[in-house]
Amino acid sequence: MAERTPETETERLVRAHARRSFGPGFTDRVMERVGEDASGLVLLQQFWRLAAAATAVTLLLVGYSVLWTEPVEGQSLMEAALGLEPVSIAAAYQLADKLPDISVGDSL
Amino acid sequence: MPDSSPGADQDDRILVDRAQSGDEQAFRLLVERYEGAVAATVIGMLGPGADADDVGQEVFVRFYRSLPRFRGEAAVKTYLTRIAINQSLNALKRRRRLLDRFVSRDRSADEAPLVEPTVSGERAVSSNDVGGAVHAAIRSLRVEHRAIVVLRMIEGYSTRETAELLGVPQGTVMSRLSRAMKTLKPMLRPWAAESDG
Repeated sequence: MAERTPETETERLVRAHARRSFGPGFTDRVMERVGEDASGLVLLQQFWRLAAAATAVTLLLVGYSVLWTEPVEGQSLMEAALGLEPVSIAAAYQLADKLPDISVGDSL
Repeated sequence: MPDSSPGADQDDRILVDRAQSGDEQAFRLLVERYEGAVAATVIGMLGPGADADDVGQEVFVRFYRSLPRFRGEAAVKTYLTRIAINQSLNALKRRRRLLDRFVSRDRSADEAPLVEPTVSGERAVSSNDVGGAVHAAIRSLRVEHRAIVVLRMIEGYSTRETAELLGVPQGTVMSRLSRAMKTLKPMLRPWAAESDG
């Protein structure tokens, strides 16, 4: 058998003294963390399911609002979806007619 | 040796399939089977201690998270070793940042660059603690040299496999290994001589 050179002896020492275990209970510690991680993932999945359902309901209500509300002239799609009065000068005058006459002096 | 036999690979495939379908016992068996390989990599890179244990756990948690995407192109051991190396390098960066934060208050910026504190094999380790001396010697290496020593010498990967795992050319692996050996040899000479005699 060939004599060991110092280099191969160094390699042998390094390999022989490498630690190949984290110590007792390592697998249990990993499984505990995996369990925590898995329950976090379940919660996250449930959150996304709820978020998707909420988005679907919102879109449905918006669609319903757009389809079944009588369109007002000059009303944008967004205003129709949210049920807002169109903002125009005519609408502002209409609004002014409906409001009681208020002046600065009265409020003081 | 790094690559498992075909039988072990097939066995791993079955365990991975079972773990992918939610069988925790199968995953537990994978952890038990590969703790040694992950420990050798992580402890080789970081030294023994709580930090290494944390990183070891993180390696398996990441493997668990990646199970749905794991297609088995790489052997389980190679896959885990890759995660272990990356996580160890991240832990060393964190350690370095922490060290910088504490030491920078007492040092001026123009002083010599910081190095990770290491224990000298000859001074801090008792003469009969060969394991301690080996760990100290490995920890005295630069991080990139340490990774080569861990993969080539401890894990037994070939130069090509080591190069692939670290994403460096094969020539770099060989030159780093040669430099690492130049550092390790004198540090471990007393113990090498002892075991020869």
